[in-house]
Amino acid sequence: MKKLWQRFALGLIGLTALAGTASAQDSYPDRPIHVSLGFAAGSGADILARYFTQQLEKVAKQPVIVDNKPGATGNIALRSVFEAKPDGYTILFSANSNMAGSRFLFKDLPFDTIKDFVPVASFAQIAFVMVVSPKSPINTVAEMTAFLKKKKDNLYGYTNQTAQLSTEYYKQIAGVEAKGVSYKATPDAMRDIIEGTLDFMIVDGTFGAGQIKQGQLKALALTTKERIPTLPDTPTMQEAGVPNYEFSPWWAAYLPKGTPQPIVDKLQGYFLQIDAMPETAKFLESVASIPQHDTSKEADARLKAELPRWGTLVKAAGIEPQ
Amino acid sequence: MDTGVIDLIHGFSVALQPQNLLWCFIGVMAGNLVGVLPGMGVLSAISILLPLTYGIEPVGAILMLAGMAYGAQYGGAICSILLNLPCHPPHAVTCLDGFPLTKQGKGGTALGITMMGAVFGAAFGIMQMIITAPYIARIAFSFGSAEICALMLLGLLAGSTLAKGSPLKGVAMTIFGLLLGLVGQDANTGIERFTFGILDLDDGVELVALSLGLFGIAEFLRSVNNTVPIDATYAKLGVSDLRPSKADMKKAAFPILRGTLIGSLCSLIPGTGPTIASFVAYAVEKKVSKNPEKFGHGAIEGVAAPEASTHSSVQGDFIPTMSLGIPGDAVMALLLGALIIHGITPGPRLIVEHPDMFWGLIASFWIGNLMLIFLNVPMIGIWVKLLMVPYRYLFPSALFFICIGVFAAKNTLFDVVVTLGFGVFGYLLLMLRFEPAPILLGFVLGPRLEENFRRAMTISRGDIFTFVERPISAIFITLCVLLIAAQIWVRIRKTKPPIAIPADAHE
Repeated sequence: MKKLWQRFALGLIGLTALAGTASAQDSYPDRPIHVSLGFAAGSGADILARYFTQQLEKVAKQPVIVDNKPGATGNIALRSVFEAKPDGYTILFSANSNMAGSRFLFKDLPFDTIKDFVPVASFAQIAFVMVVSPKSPINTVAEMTAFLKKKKDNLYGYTNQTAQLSTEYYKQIAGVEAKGVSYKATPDAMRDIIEGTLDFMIVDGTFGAGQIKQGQLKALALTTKERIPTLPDTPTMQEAGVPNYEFSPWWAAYLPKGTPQPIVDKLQGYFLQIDAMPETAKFLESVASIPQHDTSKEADARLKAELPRWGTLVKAAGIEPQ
Repeated sequence: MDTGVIDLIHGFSVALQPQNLLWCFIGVMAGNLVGVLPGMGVLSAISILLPLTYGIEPVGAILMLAGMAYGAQYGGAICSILLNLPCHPPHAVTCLDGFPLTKQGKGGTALGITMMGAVFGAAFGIMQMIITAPYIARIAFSFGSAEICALMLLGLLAGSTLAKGSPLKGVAMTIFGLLLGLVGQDANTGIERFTFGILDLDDGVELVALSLGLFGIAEFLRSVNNTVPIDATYAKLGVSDLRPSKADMKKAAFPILRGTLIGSLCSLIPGTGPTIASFVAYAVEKKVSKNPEKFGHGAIEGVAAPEASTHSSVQGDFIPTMSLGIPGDAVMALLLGALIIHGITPGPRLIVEHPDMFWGLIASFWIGNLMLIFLNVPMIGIWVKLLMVPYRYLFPSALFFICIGVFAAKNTLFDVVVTLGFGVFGYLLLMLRFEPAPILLGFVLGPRLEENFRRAMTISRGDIFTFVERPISAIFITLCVLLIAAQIWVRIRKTKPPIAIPADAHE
């Protein structure tokens, strides 16, 4: 008799708990959502994130607040989401440099970017562009490869690890040698590109596209798999004769591990809906990017597929994990 | 010069945009306010407002922050002349003759002359910027990493040795600033330096936290124990008192001219801020005067010259800051940091790459100074009332805003703790008579020096002689050597500077 009562009580508790979670998931989102971003307000990443959070606000019908947590190459933002309650109200916006690259760049991070986070959807890919001085006689990647093979002491410029590794990737496939010169931001490198101090540079398209259109830089190829509407005449690396080349930053939303699946699904729906909007494509064109339309599973697969490449490139670039 | 005029017209079209006008107004208003309030420095005020500008356009942000820098000069003069309080270091010397004039009932005249000097000085400083800018823009492309590195070295040397007090202490503080600038992840290799395993330090020390600690909190700790009751017996005056008589204007005309010239010369020498400019102007005026015995007892020349000098030097200081990336004093170092935070690299290429910013700023100087006249002439009574805000309200609220400002920079409490730490440290420095300003100089210039040094070395394939083989960088290196030699020579001869600048007067 006692046992039956106990079972009944347990069942009741279980039911209410279930009902509780079920209703919490059904009513999600019923309060403001926070988006953690590892970049400062006003940065390129912030501009991208703000567009998507504004749209998310409209489709989710809840206020969406961007928490800019710059620092430690984005790891501070990752840590904050890792430590957050997995209830769908704290989302991480992060690029593949963090999610795939971090494990090779840092030794003792408190989290594992693959095991501790769940991708929701990937929504944008940013184009990087290989550029040379407008005064340079070189017009194609093939000419560049031949030129670098002949010449000694080649120099290339880079501003961030993704750009550095994308150059390493080109070097590896093309079989050329060049030494990297680090710059804080692309504008700082402009003089050295134009004056020919640097033989070439892979720059971010957001800044580069404007310079290319003004004739300050000459574009050779895009690092994306497909051409972008921002620079319709610039071929991709693959088209320019660098087989299998694809290396671009892409942005995705992530949730901490343990977030209920219905919430992940709901958010995934929101992001795919935003990504399909015509104004999204228009906005992305203005920042030299293209929509990515990856579901949670696709983003996960893309991330895992990229891992070995990041590993070998970090080694090839001679970067010691910290 | 012709292109300068066209660019300036463009600048006005930028500065006259409604939102930029608004930012400029907020800037000069806030600057005037902190200039008047005793114990509130321009540095802490700019630091507090800096994080709030992250969300706005860089042009508006810089117009506002710059407005604070020169707006504070107006407020500072009121404080010195009417209350004999050197609230704002560049105006300390104005007390000497300004307050006696006030006691004689001529405080209004002194203020009127000050404002005339201010407008003239500022206008001259602005002209100087317009004329030099195109020349700097023309040589911009010859500035590669090696040149910038040599230039930074010169700026650091000049800033630390020309500063007030002992050069040894100045150099020590600069080096401390350089070390602070190293904290965080190295951009080239990703190696963490001086982070002690703290993830929050990976991006280095926050500029706002450092400057608010060293200048805001430290100043607060120092003043909190020796608050003086404010004597405002003479500080009652109306708008009509501000109009100086013809005789006074005649007496002040040449001192204003001389002061302006001294100020603009000082602004061209890296490391000499408005404080030095105003003290030098006062000393020169006393020397050339036919009756130097009147100085200190209410000589109108002793107000006109230093005030004109301060104003022209503050405007002129923007030249080396914006176009060479070398700040003249801590305020400019902070503005330099603000530019970098807003993604703008100060240096010769700034004028070419960001004409909106550069010419908009110059145009806004004119607009801002005009606003300041309108703010000060009819509202003089209100500013005087503000002088009477008791410390017990002022300091806690300042502290509150400091904490909010630091927190807002990166949304982390960690930086608030860092600020408090630097506050205590800065207080110790003040007690030991170490000048904290060079720390900020080293902190801002250090990373740029290192970055360009390493880049120059990679580009030259490890050949250190690249710095003397390239003509422009060779000139800077020569100047560095001469500067060190001159310092040693002065030490050996044991010559003292003609006037003693109080060691506690930092800008």
